[in-house]
Amino acid sequence: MNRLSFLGIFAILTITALVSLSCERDDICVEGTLTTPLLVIEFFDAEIFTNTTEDVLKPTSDLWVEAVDPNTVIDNGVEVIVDPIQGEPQAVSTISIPLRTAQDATEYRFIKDYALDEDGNQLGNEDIITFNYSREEIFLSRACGFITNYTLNETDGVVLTTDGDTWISSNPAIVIENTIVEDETVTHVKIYH
Amino acid sequence: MKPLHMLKYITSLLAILICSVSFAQDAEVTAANDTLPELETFPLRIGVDLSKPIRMALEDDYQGFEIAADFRVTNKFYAAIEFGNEQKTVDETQINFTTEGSFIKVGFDFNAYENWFGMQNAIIVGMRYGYSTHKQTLNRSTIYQTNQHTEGESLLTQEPGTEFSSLNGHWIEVVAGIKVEVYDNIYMGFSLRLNRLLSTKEPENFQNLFIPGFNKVTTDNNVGAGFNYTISYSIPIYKKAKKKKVEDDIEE
Repeated sequence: MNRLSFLGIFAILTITALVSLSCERDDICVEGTLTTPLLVIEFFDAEIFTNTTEDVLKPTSDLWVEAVDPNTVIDNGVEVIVDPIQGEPQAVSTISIPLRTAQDATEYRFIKDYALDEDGNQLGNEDIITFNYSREEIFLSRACGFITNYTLNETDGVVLTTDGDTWISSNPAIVIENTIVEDETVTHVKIYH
Repeated sequence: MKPLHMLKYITSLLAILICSVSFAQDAEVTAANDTLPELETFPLRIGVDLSKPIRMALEDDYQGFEIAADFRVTNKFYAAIEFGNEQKTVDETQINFTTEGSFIKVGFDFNAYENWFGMQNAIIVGMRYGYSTHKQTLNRSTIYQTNQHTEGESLLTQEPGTEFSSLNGHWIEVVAGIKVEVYDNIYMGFSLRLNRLLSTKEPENFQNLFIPGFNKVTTDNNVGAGFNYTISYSIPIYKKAKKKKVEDDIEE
């Protein structure tokens, strides 16, 4: 009788152990966690800044932003850009863009008055900006894994490719407001136009 | 989710308590009126944890063994030790790593079960101090990037194979379990363990996510759990006369 009771407890404990081990919580990287940050850019009025040194936000006209050599997938035989920065060209005064985690530089196209003509040719004024930075990989948690934080280079953190017809102002030049990119709630780069 | 986990352990502890009450009532009166002096044995029980080979059979990415021993020190207290080795590969969405190392746990068990003379069955509560020395290898890691405009999964994923060696962990375990003699001198035991991590030597820019002997470690939480399922052999080391209780004298 006694021995049977012990075996009963064995059974209960075994079941309890198996249940508690199999019901382990799936760790999920909680939304809202500070993970790999996006670079935040704001657009300011160059004219007002030159005259009064005041920063006044100035929306761009029909801006389209995309990385040079973006990540694409083939969807129904059509090459589609993954996670486009914008749904359509629009007037914006701030924009958030991801930087490459496998390279120390990311090039972006900033196209003002973006449109396509009948033959599919791109219209508008395209300026290319290269972001140069150093990277740091940081372990966050079991669920989130590793993230990357960036530090924009002091001297050549943001370089505007001059093509003789830039809509982005070179004087006042682009300003790096925060070299450290780890929090996407602050502005990192100010562009005047 | 934490309170739910706690609830599970409380439930299992309750199960042990309830059952202990039920068997106290089942106890049969078999004590013989012997004229020989009553000798209590003080055995050394040595066994292996069966749950680890079972786990090895069920999981591809797990290897482990554990030797468990206890020695009766007084009527109610047993000195207890467990030691062994574990290797575990954990595959998460963002990371894949392998932990490999050895552990030792030293402590005591208190037998809360009133045995009939000569029996060594036990309902135990106990404590252990655990220590592990291990290494952890990061096999794969993916940068957590919500926006994949510039890089897809293939570019974000790396296979560094970085090995972090000479890591360690210190922890305390609270043990609840039973041991029962199934054949002469052969005991089967089962115990549940609630662990609390005290300190660790963490890998640089990574974390001890599995510690041999301790089990899974969650980020932001230093509580863990484990169990073992032992089969052991009892070797009588010495015997000594049982001290008669005062009540026994009165009854006689």
